[in-house]
Amino acid sequence: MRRASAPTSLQGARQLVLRLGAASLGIAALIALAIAALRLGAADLAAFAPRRALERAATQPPSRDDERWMRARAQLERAASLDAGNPDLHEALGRWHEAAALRAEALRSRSDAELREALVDFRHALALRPSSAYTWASVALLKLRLAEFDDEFSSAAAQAAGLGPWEPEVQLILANVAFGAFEKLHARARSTVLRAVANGLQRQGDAIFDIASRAGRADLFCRLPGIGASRQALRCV
Amino acid sequence: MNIRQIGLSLALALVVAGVTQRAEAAPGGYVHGVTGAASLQSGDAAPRPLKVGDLVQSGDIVTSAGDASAIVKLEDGQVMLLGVASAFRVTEYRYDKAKMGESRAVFGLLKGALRFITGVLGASHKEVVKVAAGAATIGIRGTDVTVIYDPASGNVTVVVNSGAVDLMTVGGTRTVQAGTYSVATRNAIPTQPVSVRAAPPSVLQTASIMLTMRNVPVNTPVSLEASAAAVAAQARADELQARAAADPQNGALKEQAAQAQQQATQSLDAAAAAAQKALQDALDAGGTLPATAAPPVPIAPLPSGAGPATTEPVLAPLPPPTTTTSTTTGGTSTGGGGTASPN
Repeated sequence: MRRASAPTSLQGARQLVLRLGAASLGIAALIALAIAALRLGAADLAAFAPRRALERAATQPPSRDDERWMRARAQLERAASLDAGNPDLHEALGRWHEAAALRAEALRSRSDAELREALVDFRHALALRPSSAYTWASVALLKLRLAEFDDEFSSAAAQAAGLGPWEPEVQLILANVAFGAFEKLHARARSTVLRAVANGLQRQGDAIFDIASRAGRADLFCRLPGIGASRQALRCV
Repeated sequence: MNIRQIGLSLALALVVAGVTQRAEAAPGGYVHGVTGAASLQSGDAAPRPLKVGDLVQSGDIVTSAGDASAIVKLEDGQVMLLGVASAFRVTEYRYDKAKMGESRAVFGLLKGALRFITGVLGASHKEVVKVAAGAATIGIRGTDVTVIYDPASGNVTVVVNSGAVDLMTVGGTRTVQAGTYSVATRNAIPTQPVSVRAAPPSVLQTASIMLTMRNVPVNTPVSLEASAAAVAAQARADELQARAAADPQNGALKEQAAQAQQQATQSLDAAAAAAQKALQDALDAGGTLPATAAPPVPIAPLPSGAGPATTEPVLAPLPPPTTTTSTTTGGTSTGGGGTASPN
């Protein structure tokens, strides 16, 4: 009889071990997921305040002693380290550097270093999300600000125009690019970019005209494809 | 031939010359926008109400009432903005597309405020563009200037928005740069230019209003007839649209408005294409592309207690390229009946 129960205990033990193993695996998986969620949540939380800081910076004048502004960068970097595969965070970092460059310009300081940092961040964001017309447009704009009119400048503009020809923000950025350095664009990119800008005539023609005026290129504005069909043509006659 | 015969021949020659001159007077500009009650006087004829699309020629006088303003565009692209209670004369305008140096663009400010933005002529042959006001003559060196003339005091104030001008009287000449103003009083030498932000409030206010007038067209050449027809068509379409909106049950009016807009769009398309060609022709003939006036902002006076102002740009420092929509603030709205608006 004793002989017959030994195999039962062994089987029971084996089953127990198997069950314990499965449970452990499950628990480990749950813990891993929880940690990942915590990291992502922490990344999100970390990014929340600096994003707000970026929005504020867009409306408030810059100050050299703005600690909150500098803290925002640290928070964004921390968020990006917690969630390295999130293109939004890299883009937000790029925005911070871009805004920092504008602040530096407003304070009459050098801004190229910040612009280059922004470029690195945007390239990183594009590697993670190559379909973002907005990010491509941002790269083109940074290249314009850095006066780097190379292949990347033209291809970024063309990509933006191709991927987001009807996105209002993209149209405005491309307007800055086109009116700021039209002759620096590769010939094959020009018509694509102009067409995307022209798509915005109906809804934001005034803003596009303002950009053209600032750049001294009202003549180019009046050559936008389809201008004649828009009320904006009244500016050109 | 005796003296009487010589005299008669001379008189006849003068008459013929006068008739020929009048026959050769051709339109040089058109009315791009009107707000309120303004008038146009040609030669000895009585003034008639100024309308969008009216053609303007040498000798014409444009006058605005107390609450009115007008925008006149010349064939070479020059834009004349007339302030309230003001009047200016097109003394002589002749745009020779082939030989721009032989063109003439002479204007007279009779009273009030006039802002002019030079076109191809001013950019290519500055010497042919002149504005007279009171005892002063203004020679153009650049793009964007506001002139204020008070006949009672004889003061001529020049506010340069961009570029520069020479303000001349028999007493002397001052070169007035962008961001500064100078005053010429009768025959005295004009005052030393100083920052416009230090100007008297009345000058500051007038200059700001002129600077922020809306619906200002681009200062590049046009095809006169096409442009005049286009703005007139759009003004008509806007009027019908307003009437249709006020009477939504009136289907016929709505249809009329839609057709008018269709015609206006076709007209605008043709005028825009003609303007592009006019610009290209001007450039091919050796003309220089005129600088575009940047989007203006009202001029901020100096803080009280501030010392003598150094020269500063009139326009706010241009921000770097931005993605946000900008809006033009303040200034005279040219909305309302008879005004063609791009909005």
